[in-house]
Amino acid sequence: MKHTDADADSLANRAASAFRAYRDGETAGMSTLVDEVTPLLWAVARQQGLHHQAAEDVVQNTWLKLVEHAPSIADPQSVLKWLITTTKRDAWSSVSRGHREEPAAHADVRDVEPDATAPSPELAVLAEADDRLLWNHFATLSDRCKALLRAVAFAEKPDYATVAQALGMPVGSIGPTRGRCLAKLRHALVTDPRWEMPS
Amino acid sequence: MSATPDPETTLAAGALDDVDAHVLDQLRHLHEVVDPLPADLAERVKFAMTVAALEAEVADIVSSATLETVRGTDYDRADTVTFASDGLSVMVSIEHGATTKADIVGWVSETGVEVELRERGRTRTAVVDEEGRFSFTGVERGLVNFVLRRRGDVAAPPIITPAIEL
Repeated sequence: MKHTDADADSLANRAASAFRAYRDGETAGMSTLVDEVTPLLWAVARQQGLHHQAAEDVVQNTWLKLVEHAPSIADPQSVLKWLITTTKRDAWSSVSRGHREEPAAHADVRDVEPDATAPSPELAVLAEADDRLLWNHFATLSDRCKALLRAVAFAEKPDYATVAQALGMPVGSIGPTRGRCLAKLRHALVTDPRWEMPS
Repeated sequence: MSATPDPETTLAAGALDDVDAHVLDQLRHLHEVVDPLPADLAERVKFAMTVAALEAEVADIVSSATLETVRGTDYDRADTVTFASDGLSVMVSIEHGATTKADIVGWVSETGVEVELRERGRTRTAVVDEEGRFSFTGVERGLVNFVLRRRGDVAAPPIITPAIEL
């Protein structure tokens, strides 16, 4: 893997340094890494369609697997990719075991998500018209594009290609060019007269 | 074949710009509102990782004189907490001063025990005295837990307490 100054401060690089330090017995950096990367892993697990509790289990198990496999991970530089791939794969198997969220099958969303941390009904919580507009256009994208863009939104620009690759998307899906998914969303926005281009 | 590519293809081949950055920021914000990360997930992950890495026994909370229970989380704001595991018990008393820091005094049911205090980002250790007493002063508010090791028995797994909030 080639590294340039441009990606010196990427999430992937910070993950790699924290992981190397962890393997050398310096555990403090791992706490920061968990804080930084868990929102991304949550996005990955949830976008696979997992319900709340199953997504929590998958994310927690990914980190436990990192502890367990720490000595055998050959390339510390690829640890971010390893975390995303593990989350995606385990989320996928959990979904196929039937932990998929199916709100449509229930009359009341509270029957599905009785816990206090359940997501609120989507559009009701988005007060800004601008937010609702983006949400609606995002919702029309394919599942693959939604998964990619949601994950990328929780990473940093130098990490986009790594995130895409970890999610099994072809090279060039995003970064350095916009790629198909983001182009589709961008095109939908620019052709919507209600959308105001940010200045 | 048309000579002019469709607008999506042109956009797809273009470099990421500030508008894309803005759209992705907004997308992140939307997901944080619509489907937020469970508030204590990262803390639970860290605790589970510590337990796994130390191959530790997790102590139970036996009793706590609770001043205020934070609803919806696993953590209690307490003045006195007693933990027990594997025949060993430890009582911890937290004294909140006027500052943002707290003092901790504790008693372990055995001597020859080393107590490690795990704060956010740092750890310190104390060995209990001949009465089983230990103390830590000037502890920052926040989540902490304790790891106890029997010094005379290196083969025994360490004992870790659940996190408590100071």
